[in-house]
Amino acid sequence: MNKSERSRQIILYAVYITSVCCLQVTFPHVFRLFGRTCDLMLVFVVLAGYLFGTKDGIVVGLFVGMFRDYFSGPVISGKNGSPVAVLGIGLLAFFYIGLLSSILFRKRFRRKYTQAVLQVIFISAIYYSLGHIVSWVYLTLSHNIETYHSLKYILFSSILPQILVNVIASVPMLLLLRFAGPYKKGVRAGLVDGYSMEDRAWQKI
Amino acid sequence: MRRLFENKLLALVLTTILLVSFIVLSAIPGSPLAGATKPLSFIVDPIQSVFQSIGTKISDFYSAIAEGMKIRKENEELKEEIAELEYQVQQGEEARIRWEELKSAFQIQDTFENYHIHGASVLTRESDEWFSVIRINVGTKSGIDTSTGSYAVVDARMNLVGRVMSTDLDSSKILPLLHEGFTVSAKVNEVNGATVMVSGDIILKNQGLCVVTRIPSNVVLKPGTELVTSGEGGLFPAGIPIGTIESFDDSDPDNLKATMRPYVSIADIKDVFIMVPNTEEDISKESTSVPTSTPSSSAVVPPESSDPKESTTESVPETTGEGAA
Repeated sequence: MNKSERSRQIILYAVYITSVCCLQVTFPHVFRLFGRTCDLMLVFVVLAGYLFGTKDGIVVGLFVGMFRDYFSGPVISGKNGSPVAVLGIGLLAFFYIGLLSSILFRKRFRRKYTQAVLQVIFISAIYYSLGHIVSWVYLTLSHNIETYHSLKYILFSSILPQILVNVIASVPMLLLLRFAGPYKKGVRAGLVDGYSMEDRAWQKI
Repeated sequence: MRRLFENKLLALVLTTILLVSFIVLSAIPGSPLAGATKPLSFIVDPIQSVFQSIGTKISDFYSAIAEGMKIRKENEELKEEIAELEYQVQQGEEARIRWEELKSAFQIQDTFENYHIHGASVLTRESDEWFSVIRINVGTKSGIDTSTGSYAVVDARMNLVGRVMSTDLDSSKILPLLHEGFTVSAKVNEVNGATVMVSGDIILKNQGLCVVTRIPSNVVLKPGTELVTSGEGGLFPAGIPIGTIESFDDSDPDNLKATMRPYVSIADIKDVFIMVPNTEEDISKESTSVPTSTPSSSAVVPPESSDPKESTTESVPETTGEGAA
């Protein structure tokens, strides 16, 4: 990668990361569908990891996670039950999202653009399922709360509509990364992860 | 070191340990890591403000086009309303003078007299179910500092919105009333009203409701009953309206429960006000200063606009807090 390509990569990633994060938290109502807000940050990290490899996935994931913590980081109960704003949960979660999206199903999906949507579905399902499990365990242990959302609510009012809106959001984002992304023609030339790159068939739509 | 990171699994484990340590350390009250976002706020807040400003302008532009006729009609109605309101203001002014006279005469203590009210605009909202605090555009620069404690946050009608969680240079995080981590001691807004506990609830928050617990066994909370802050605990001053009772569940006499609908709609709120208690220094300054026509020592600082033009035109010196209250 020469100097100009590196500069393009850094500048475009910086623009995309700040734009995606700021848009999601500033205008959530604009990206709201079926009662759920598109998780642009999650979709962006998944697509960056899936299309451009582990390094990109991890770095983008860490930055997006940092923004997520900064803008709306989660709150836990501190000493005496008083709420404390914690930092790092977004960093950790999005670090793994970036990593997983770059390594999961890479053989099966072969990094084709159309199948990136499947990766968004899969990672969204994992993230929201784990989120509910962790939230339930945490609330049960720390707040001694016996009630949580019903399985029906979690499935049909939380996870499935969220996956649907994330899939919808992934289409324009995919086109953006393909045609105006951090790499020319949407292909990261230096990406070698054990697969044939001779005809770049793995990155064709 | 290089060899260490060549082992991918080891690098992964080390990164995870590092991030988990970061989470644990940031959760410790008073930890220097809690302020780790301060440098970030220096860069991110101006960028975010630009996004907000652009979004608002686009939205205003489309509104102006789409609602032109409606606005014209509304304008005429508003002119009539202004005339009516001007008459009411005159009457209100007379009532205010009477109130000031009575207040001086009976030495009634103003509930929020010892608070500075800082106005702020909402910058960002929740990202998902778990990342659900909101961010506003005032921080340590404006004198809001959570190192000494938290502050109550109210809306323009003085209804409870939440509490300040943490502050950065130019922004602060607010824990909203509906968040499951939020708890406030409340009382029924009647003479000798019962004291109860209002908390956010993970299930009810989707319906915009809070749960009311610790209801004394002899108390029945009828739908429509108003709850206000009790003042217990010291964080929230007594008397801030919270909401009204929606339903009451007495199926378990040992564990009476109710649901409450807050007055404030977190999704629609744009401006908030932070109630900062006056320091001893402020109080001594007030006592030594020359008395003005309005004896109240509370002060309102208007919301900080992201548009510099607006902020210069709207920024006014400290005014009395009675308008907001």
